[in-house]
Amino acid sequence: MTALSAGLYSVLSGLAALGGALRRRSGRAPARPVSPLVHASSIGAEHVSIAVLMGSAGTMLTGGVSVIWMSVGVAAGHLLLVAFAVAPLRRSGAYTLSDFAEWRLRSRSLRRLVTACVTITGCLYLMPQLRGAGLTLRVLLGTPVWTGALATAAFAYLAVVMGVNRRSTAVQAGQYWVKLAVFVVPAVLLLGVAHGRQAAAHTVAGGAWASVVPYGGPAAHYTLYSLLLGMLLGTMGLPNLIGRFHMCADGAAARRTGVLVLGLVSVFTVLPLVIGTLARGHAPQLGVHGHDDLLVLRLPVLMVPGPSGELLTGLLVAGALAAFLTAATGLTFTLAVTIAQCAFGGGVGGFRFGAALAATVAFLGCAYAGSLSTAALAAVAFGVAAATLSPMLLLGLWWRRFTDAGCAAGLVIGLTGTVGPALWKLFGTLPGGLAGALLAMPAACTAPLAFVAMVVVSLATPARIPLDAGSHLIRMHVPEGVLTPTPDR
Amino acid sequence: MTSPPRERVVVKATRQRRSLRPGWPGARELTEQTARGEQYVAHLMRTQLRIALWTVLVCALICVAAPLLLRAGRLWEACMLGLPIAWLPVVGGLPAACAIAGIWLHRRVRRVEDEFRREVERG
Repeated sequence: MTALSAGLYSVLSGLAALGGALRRRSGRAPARPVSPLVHASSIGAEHVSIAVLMGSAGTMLTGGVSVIWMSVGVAAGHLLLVAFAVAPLRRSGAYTLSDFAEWRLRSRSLRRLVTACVTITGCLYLMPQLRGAGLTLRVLLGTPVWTGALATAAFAYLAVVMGVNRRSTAVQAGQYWVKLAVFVVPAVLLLGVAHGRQAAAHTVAGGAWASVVPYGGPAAHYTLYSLLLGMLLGTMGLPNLIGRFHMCADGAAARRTGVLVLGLVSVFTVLPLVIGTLARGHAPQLGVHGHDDLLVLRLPVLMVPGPSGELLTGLLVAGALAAFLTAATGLTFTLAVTIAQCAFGGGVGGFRFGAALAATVAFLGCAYAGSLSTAALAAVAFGVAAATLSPMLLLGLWWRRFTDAGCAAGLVIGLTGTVGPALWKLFGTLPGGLAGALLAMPAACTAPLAFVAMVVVSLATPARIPLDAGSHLIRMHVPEGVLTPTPDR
Repeated sequence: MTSPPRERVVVKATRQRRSLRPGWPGARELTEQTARGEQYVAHLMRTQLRIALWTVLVCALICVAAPLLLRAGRLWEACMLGLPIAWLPVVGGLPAACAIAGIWLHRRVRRVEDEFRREVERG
C-alpha cells in the first residue's frame, strides 16, 4: 500500500513535469524573465534540504530538541546570503565560485584550488543525499541502503549527462509547492490525531530532551554554537546555490528573490520539530535503531494503523525520494560544470567525467562511512563550506586589498582544518570530551581562522592586489544603469 | 599578476531598470576612477555593508538571547497540541525575524542605490 501510493505520487509528479516541459517548448519565449515568486520557489525547491530536515527529525528522537538549531541555521544563513552576497555576485556575472575567484583575483592556480574546495564540499554534501535516498528506498522496498544509494548516484549521473535536469523554472517552482504539501499535510494531520491522545512512553515536555539549549558541559555548548555557525556560513558557501540567481534581471531583483527564498525555506523549519516530537511521544520504538534516522518516515503507519496511515507514509516517502533525487542531480550538475571548466577547457567530455567523478566519489564515501546519520553528514559538508568558500566569498566581494595569496592561504587552512577531522569522523572514532567535540564540529574554530589567515596574508602581500580590483568592486557594487549604456533599449 | 587575464563572459548583460545615457559627469568619474569617483564608491559600499552588518547583528542577538530567556523563564512544561510552547519562538520566531530583517534590508539598500543613482546624475 505504501509502495503503491508512493509510486502513484511519483508517476503523477513525473507527468506534471513532462506536461510543464512540453508546454514550455511549445509556447513561451525562452529568455523571458520569470516573476520573482516563481523563480524563488524554483530555487527553494532545490534548496530545501530534506536531508537536513528529516535527518534532524530522526536525530531528535534520541539526541533531543537542540538539533533544531540546524534548520534554524540554514534559514538564518539565507539572510546572510541576501545581506552580503547575492546582489554583488549577480552583478559580477560569474556563474560558479571558481569563475568568481579567477575573475576577482586574476589567478589560474587559485581557480584550481577553489575547484578542489568546491568538489570536496559538493561530494560531502552529495553523500547525505545518496544515503538519504538509500534509507528511503529501504523504508519503501526493504533493499539494503547501499543499493539505493548506488541507484541514486547512477540516476543523478544519467540525468545530468542526458540533460534531463534542464527543466523549466516553472516546473521546479511547482515542485516546491508539491513538496510543501507532501510534508506539511501529513504533519498537520498527525498533529490533529495526536491532539486527542495521551503521549505514550515518554513525556515530551520538560527534562533534558526538550531543552533547546543543551544540558551538559562546555562540550555540548561548543557543539551547538559550532553547528549553528557552520550552518549559517555554510549556506552562503554552498556551491550549487550561487548560479541560480543569474536568472534574475539585476542585482536588486536577485536580492528580492533571495528574500523570498528565505521566506519559503523558513516555512520548512517547523517540520523536523513536529515530526520528531510526534515520533518521540507516539512511536518511541523508532529511536531504537540508532542511525537509521529516516525511519521517522514510517511514523504515520505507526500512529494510524490501516490504509490511511499507509497512504500518508507513502506520501512522505515519495516526497523524500523526489527531494533527494532533485538535490543529488542539482549538486552533480554543479560539480560537473565546475570540474569541466577547470580541467578540460569546458568540453563535453570533461562535463561527463566531472559528473561521473562526483557521483562515484560520493557513492564510495557514502558506502564506507557507515556510522553517521544523514543530518551529521550534511553538517560536515556545511562545516567545510563555512571554513573555505564562505570567507573567500565575503572578502572577495567586499574587500579591495584581497589577494590570491591570502585567499589560497585561507583556503588551505580551512580545508585541512575541516576535512582532516571530517575524514577522521567519517572513517574512524573520535575521542571523547572537549577535544572530541572540537574535532567533531571544527567550524567555530576553523572558519574564523581561515578568515584571519586570508586577511593577514593579503595584508602581507600588497604587491599581489590585482590592478583591476577597483573596477571590479565598482562593477559589483554600483547599481545597474549608472555605468553601462543600456543594451536592450 | 601570475597569468594573463582571461575573460569569460558567462552571463550576459543585465536588464536595466532605468535607461541612463552614458556620459553623465558622475559616471565618467566612476569609470575613470578619479579620486571623487573612488570616494563615491567607497561611500556606497560602506553604507551597504553597514546595513548588512546591522541586519545580521540584530538577528544574531535574537538567536542568542531567545533560548537563554526561555531557559530563565522555565517555560518548558507548558504544552499546546502536545508540543511545548517554549519551542514556538525558536522554530517560528527566529526564521520569521530573519525574513522580516531581509525585507527591511532589501528596502534600505534599494533606497541607498536610488540615492546613489541620483547623485551620479547630478555629477
